[in-house]
Amino acid sequence: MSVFPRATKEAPLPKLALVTEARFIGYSDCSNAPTSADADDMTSLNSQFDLLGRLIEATEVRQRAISNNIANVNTPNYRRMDVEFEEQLAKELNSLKNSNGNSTITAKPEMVLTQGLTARADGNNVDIDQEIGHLNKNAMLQQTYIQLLSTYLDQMRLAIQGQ
Amino acid sequence: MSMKQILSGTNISASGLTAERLRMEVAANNIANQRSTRTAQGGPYQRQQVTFAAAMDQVLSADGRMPRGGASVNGLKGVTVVGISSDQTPGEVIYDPGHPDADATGHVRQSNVNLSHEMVDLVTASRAYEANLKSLETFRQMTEQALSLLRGMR
Repeated sequence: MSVFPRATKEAPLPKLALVTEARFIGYSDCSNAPTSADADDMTSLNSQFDLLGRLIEATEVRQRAISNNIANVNTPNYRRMDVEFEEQLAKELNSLKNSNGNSTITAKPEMVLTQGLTARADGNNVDIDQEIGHLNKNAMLQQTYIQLLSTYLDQMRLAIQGQ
Repeated sequence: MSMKQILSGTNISASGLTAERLRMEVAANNIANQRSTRTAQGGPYQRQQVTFAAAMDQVLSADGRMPRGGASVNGLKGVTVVGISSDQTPGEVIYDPGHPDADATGHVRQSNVNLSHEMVDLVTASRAYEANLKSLETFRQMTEQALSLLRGMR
């Protein structure tokens, strides 16, 4: 089969997806996942914005959770909190592979208590060094998503302006 | 996400900064009153200590666990100072008959401030303050990054 099959009336050209969502966030091979992109290019465009928006929102929620952990580093009996989102999202994107691509993403950032940490004598299990590490990692993730979104917006602008 | 929610990250860090600063002030006050043998309440100075509590709006369920799926991410409010209490352990008694606060046997009860204890408090409060400041700075950078998306629009 050639790269550009001649279009016949019996076999119309398949619509090209721009980029599938899964590639953007670098999760394991989801590149073949049928997405809403197969149905409509414009939907694909929206869903990429949507996905990056959700990821950025998750990093901002996590920033708040980490700030809260740091603020409570000396609070007795305080338990460390974190935000879970990416794993749930990856699961949903993987299940998209098996579905028709019509399902929408329902994952939301959720607060969870981190399990399995050793508490200090005052019952607090916040490790300040780890929190700073999480803080930096989260900020870098957010920067990455912003850069992706920014590049994507620039491309769109270029395409619209036709320069 | 409303603008109020976006900026709530600064409030969390600010509450931490306030709390740690108060802890430093209390430690400084304790050190300053190390040799105070009389107070308005009578008796020698008793060292003060602050109590912190996590400030949250219904984030944790009644048993203190995090309900999966039901927790609100907007319920985080940082830290609050519950109060300043005094440490009631008696200070040591020294023999100093010339002291104006000496009792009939010439003994004076000193304050119960332990300098090394206060120094440890001061250092941990100072480090925690820095950490809160760092988280505030990171928050500022992140918000700036997000706002830079709008900068391209002309």
